[in-house]
Amino acid sequence: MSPILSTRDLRVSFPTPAGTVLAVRGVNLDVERGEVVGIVGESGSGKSVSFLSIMGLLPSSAVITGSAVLDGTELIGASDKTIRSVRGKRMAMIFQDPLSALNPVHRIGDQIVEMILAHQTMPKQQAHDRAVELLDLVGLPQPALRAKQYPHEFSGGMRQRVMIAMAIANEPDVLVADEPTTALDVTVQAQILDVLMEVKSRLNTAVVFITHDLGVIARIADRVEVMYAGMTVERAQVNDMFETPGHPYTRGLMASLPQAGRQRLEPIVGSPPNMIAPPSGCAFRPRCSEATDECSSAPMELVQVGRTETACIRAQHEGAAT
Amino acid sequence: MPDSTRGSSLSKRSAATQATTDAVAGLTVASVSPRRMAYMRFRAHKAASVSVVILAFLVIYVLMSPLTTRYGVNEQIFDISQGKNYNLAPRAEAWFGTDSIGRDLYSRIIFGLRVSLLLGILASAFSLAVGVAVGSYAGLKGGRFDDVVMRLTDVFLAFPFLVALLVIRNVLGAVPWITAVIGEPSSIRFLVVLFTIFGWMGVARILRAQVMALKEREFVEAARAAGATNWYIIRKHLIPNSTGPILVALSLGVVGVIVSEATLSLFGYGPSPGDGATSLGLLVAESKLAVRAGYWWLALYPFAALLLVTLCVSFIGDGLRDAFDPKQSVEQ
Amino acid sequence: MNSPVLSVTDLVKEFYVKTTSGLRSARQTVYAVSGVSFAVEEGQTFGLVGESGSGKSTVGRCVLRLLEPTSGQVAFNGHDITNLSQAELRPLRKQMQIVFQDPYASLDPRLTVGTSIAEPLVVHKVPGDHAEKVASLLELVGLSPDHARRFPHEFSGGQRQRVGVARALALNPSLLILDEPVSALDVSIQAGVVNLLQDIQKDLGLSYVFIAHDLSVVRHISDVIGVMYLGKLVEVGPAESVYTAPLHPYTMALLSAVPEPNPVVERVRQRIVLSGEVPSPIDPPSGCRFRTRCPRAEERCTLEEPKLSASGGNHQVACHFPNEVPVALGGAGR
Repeated sequence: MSPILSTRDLRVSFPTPAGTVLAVRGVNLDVERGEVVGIVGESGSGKSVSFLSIMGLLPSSAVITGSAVLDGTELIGASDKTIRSVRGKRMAMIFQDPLSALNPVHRIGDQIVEMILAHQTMPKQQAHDRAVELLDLVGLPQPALRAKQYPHEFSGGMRQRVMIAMAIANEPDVLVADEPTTALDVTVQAQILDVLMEVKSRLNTAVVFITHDLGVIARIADRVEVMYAGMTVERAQVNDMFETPGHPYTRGLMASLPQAGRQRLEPIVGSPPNMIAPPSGCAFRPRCSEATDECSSAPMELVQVGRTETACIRAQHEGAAT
Repeated sequence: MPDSTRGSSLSKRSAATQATTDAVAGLTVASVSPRRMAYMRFRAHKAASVSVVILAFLVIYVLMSPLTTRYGVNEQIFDISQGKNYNLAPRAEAWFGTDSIGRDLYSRIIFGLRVSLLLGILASAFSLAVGVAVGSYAGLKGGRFDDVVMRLTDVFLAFPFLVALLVIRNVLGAVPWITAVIGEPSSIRFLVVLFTIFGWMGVARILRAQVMALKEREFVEAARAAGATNWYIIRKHLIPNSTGPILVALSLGVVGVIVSEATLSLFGYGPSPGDGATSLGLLVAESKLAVRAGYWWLALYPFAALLLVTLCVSFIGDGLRDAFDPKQSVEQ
Repeated sequence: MNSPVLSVTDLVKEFYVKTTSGLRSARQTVYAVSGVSFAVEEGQTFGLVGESGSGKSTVGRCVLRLLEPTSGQVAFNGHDITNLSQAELRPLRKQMQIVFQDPYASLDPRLTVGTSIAEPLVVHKVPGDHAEKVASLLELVGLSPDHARRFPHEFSGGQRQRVGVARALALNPSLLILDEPVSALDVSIQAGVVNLLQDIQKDLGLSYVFIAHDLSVVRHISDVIGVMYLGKLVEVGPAESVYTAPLHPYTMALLSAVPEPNPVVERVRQRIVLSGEVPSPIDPPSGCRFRTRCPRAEERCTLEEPKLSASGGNHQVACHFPNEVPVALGGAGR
């Protein structure tokens, strides 16, 4: 089976008064049907921008090149008509702040109906019934009552459920979740993750979950992509990645987490790079304790080493030697 | 390395390593202060930059007035025995023509500009001082004090501006000790006081809004936690971070005062500082009847000068607003 | 026996909100903090944990009297500071300081970093050359003294947070309130700041109140942990004890909700998923405030509010049925 979503050499840059920001610098990504892909990265990694560009949600000043094919349809450079027919129907996105995505002056039910009718034709009453069904599916108590309420009457966790309901209204093939639980309490996060997984198994939707929280990744992801400075630096099945991380950045992330018995945390020195002038060669080099001279001209290409694919030149050499 | 936890080794670095560290730390080599960033944004606003040049030129020209004018403010361009010298159209001897008693309009406009600009700047500066003090303290204190002050401003704002101006003018002018202190109703001093009384409210409101937004910011809380008093916080944190709205209020204030003065003059209540001195407003007012007789220059040139000044100040206000608008700043 | 550096007794903080609907307006009370008591020993870290609406940040601010407590007592080194006037309080402020959550809002953007750090010195009119002190503080937090002349917008979040710590240390305080100091930072940067805080604590003998919602960080740095829910302390005890043997159902649920970065363990764990959301602090449930979401709740919980009581050693819990394993609830959190 071919992947449902496939990007090749995706590049995104923004002109700013200070220079051109190279936010995404060549991302090759495949998402299989029904799988959960976790995208891990910190500020400046390009993890959000990559998917915003595929969905056509970036400002017009953004320069996007490369290819992103969703089930046979090319999305980069596609016409507005094509993007509109895909967005919300075959590929949907939920964000970190549901409050800004919901219109405060419309009832929740109406907003979901609007979403449904944008892509499907059916009588209004039927759409409304479907909306209530969706609210029930995402675990909102008293869905019929809730559908008549306004966003400000909902708490953060409930609004996120509403966002999920809106996103799955048209049964998309791919659901992109951009840090949907980062701003939520941890107990609410647990609920939302459950909802997401239930929805995924019911509809067999592929889920792309963007986050910086390795714990969440461990809980829900099948496969993991680690991004740094606009490129993928490691890719692996989730168990493999946690057991034998193949890239110094991944190892650095894990070492900086507080864990039982760990006396001292190991931070990654330095700061995320300036994306106007990222370091040459391997972008992680200035912060890497294992860097060699070769790293300043190393291409960041993923090569299978052991159980993970890593962009680290040193790991690749060691892998080839064994 | 900047993010390590042991700092003692840092004291022995050289400049080269410092530069590398800065680069690794993501700091640009040249430090850019927020003030400089605002200045650069102002420069990018073309209309404002041009206006600054024009206005600066105008102000210097006006300040050098005995040198730049061709005649005195009350001087007739030549002796009447040489022929008619009043209501003459623009010509070599009088670039903008003469008025009804033979005075050079060009020179009078320059003197008039001086008075109007002086009035505008002084009045709005005083309004600013009062408004900033009242507004920032009310915004910071909140509670009952704020309520009282706001109701006070509402009361002042409720009066129709010009009517109130005229009434207060006549009331104050009738009280002898007030005129002894701030001058006769037609003096510039009096007008400055008058405009200040009616000008501080707008600024107060703006500052209050700014302060109320800023006081919740954590750097204000930090100053409090360090033990700072209210006035310290207002002085050091709230006002400097309100530079944008303050400068905009100042520029709009100047425009407002100049225009109000012109209106007052139309009604005959403008300044008359004696010795035939004039203001732009007076010049425009004086031209009312002359225009009907066809002496167009007597209205056109004063009005054009008025328009030029107000446009320039308005554009500068626009530029200042853009310069200090935080939404446009480049964040890391 | 030394008195504790900080002693909080029955702290209460209520806010008033005016809500208008149509022509009617009502004044409602927000019960943000409803009777919290704890003590911090010298050189210790007290971790205050809770989710939104728990009141933990409010507690931090009340301790420093950035917010005025509605009632209760705050004692610093044995002295009651609850009712001192602002003028009397000012000299004491030198000894207790605060580090804020948001690295982008906690520094005045118009002042250089050096000026911000020196501000406490200026406010208290400390004589001498401030520049030297600022330089040594910058080094202490792992930045270069040259950075003093730069502006906040030139630094990353982690660096700004370090500047915030430097500013808090300017007057050599003995107590630091840390209000979610690492929550807004990237994970790899958090570790550096956490290490810094631990090192400084050891070197300078500081006491911390560490307020956070990230349980793993709190566990790492705290000696004693207090768990707050809806304005009340529901469990207090030594960090390891609270983590490995939680007694309160909320603590158990909280711990089980934190995802572990270990897929093998994480996917087979027994989880306690709470239903519903945190009730509003304007209308907290009667009796035990947690009863609306508690899997173990009974009628007694509606009628009688449980008090914090010792349950072996210095581990206290406020529950009628502590340490009874609740039934795990799965599903979509209905």
